[in-house]
Amino acid sequence: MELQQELEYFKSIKEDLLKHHKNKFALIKGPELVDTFTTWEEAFNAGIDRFGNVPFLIKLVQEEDEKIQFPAFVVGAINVNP
Amino acid sequence: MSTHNQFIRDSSGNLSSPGLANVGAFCPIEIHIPPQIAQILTNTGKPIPKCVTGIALIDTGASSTCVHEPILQGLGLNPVGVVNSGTASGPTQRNVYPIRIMCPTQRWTLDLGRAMGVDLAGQIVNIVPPVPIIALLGRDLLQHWVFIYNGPGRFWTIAT
Repeated sequence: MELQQELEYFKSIKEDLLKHHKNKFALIKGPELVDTFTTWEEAFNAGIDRFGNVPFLIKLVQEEDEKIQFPAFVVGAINVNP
Repeated sequence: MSTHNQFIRDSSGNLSSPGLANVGAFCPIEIHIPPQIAQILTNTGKPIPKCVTGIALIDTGASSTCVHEPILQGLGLNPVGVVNSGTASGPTQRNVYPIRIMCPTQRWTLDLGRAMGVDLAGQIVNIVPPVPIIALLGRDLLQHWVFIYNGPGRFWTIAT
């Protein structure tokens, strides 16, 4: 999976980010924190402006990572016919 | 307010509650690259990839909109995030992509910063003929729309 380096770096600085940038969006490329932003759109626009159309990580700074749920797909219940 | 009502009928043309339960609420969509990336391609003289058209299932159980990941990769998009999602075999990480979704019948446009890439191969909307599902429209999208599922009425409504 791409962005592993960015994820590892985020984990390594997460405690510090929580102290100073909680609930902001961190923009990370490689082992570098570019900046933090108030909105996802600001972070995305900054990433596109600086790096172009390449992978980069935008991560909300919070204690618990958000967990995405889509149960019907996960349990295979989208197309179940009697 | 722009509104779309979709009535579900059986093969005889009669309104059908089992038919609605069988196929669910679906709508045609187009997956586009976001305008910021289109601008980069234009500035560098590169062609803008043609949008991908298909059928999406409205999934109120999904907290995030999901798109068949090969479609996102085929559009030349790159991940801008990673999220954790639950599966039957435990949590897994999935890439997140920026996309623009258009509803061609209503000309609705929505820029979604975070569409999750998933494998929807083999998932279909069970109409005649069956059509593959290219996306699940989750609650992150529905927060911008009105969605009404009327089982006894045999129809569903989306409005924006």
